[in-house]
Amino acid sequence: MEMWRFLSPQILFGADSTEYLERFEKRRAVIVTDEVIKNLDYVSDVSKHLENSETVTIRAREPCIDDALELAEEMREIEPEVIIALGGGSVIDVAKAGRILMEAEIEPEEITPFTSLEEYGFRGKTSLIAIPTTSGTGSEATWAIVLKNIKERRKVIMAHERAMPEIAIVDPAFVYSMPDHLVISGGFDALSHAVEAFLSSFSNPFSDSLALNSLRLILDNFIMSYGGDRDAREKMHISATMAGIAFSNSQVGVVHALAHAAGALLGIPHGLAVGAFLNPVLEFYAERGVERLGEMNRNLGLNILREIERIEAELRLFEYIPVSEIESHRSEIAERAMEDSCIVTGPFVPEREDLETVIERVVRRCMREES
Amino acid sequence: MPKLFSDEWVREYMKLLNESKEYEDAAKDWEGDFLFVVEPDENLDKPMYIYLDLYHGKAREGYAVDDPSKVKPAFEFRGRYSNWKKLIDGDIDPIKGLVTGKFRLKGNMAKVMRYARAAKILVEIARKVETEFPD
Repeated sequence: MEMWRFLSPQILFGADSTEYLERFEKRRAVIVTDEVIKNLDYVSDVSKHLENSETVTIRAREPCIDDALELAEEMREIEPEVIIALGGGSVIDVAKAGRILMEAEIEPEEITPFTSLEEYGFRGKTSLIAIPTTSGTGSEATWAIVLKNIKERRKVIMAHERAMPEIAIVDPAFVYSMPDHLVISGGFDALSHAVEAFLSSFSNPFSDSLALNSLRLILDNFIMSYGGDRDAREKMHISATMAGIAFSNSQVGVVHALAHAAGALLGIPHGLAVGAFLNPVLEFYAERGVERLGEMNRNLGLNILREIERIEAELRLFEYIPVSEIESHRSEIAERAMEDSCIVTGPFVPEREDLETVIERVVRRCMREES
Repeated sequence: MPKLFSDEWVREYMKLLNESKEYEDAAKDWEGDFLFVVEPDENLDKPMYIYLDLYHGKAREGYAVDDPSKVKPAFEFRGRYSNWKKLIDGDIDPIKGLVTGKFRLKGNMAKVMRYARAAKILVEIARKVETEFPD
């Protein structure tokens, strides 16, 4: 077996896990959040455990490189000992990049798995704690950062071991009242992470365990979570983190390459974009005889394609997909997906024509559901 | 059979690269030259270097280098001999090799990340060169 590695933050989970912050009560802390979370009054649920904290609020939008640079600038003035990222994947990704950029004199896009951040002055002086308020991205437990380059209308995939938060607090209190659209987009994101982690050419026994177990939990709880079931929401919250660790230690592949391209071009929320592409990509893999797909089905004792179809239908996923825009940008989405770094980490590298075929299938499926 | 990183090896590698439509497509906008460095270890006495100028999906120039200070490439990719051998034999994935520190890359990382497919094909084609290893 070829050398590889397994990374994970320390993870606190379950009821009242936010209390763990009391270990940091004497530290100078900055809570990074966005306008939406601030209005939900979740900040006080965190700050009450800290004696010395202030809050930095970023814009609630698809996270951009500029957001991370602005945050880094603020952090350099505040000089926190600990950063607490409280929000969805967008907030956490901005905080992950901001923590690095506040110390390192580096262009954000140069934060890659191969970069020696120490050469750019990064010393890791500030701890990062991530508290997700959605169940999907897994960003609290990964070394990946996805930020949009607005000018070039593309998503930049950054990754570095030092981007990973030291601690992830996966407290279900923040997701009991999560709105339906976030349950859907987050759920499909987590589902795609688990599936792609297992199918990745970088998959390994550690990531496989997490991918399969999170898949079981997601398939069993996604619909009930949408219905507001508290226990299902708790399980979806934990499984999103598990799926995050799985793909962070394996990789995601073609589904994400396509979703990054479509998301950046058309502004489709990430979770919906991966939801749209997931089954068509799996059908394509099945036709190409990807053996790992059969292995996944055997391990789970079901047919993953049919299971995803069931969830898509139940949650009316296709109503959220801007199908005509996807159709009119088919060629551009395929071209950009071929330039995405995730394109090489699936079970095999597709041709551009393959991607166009997959996009056609997305369009056909959406239209079939509409009619 | 050409010896690893000899002029003959580079010529054969360039020939295969320039015949590859797949590489041409994946690297159609790429501009950047490389110095590839094989560092000595228990199976190699002294370092080996090759220079390769890659431009718009083609290898424009390439040769074995005696003195690396005479070239100023945009990128440098280096690793120990035993790891190079495993890479060319298909036992190490180039991305995993970089992440785990078996290989090191210098240059514009952001640019490389956008050409992950081209990088993968570069390695796949290197594996097609019938190679005589020093040991």
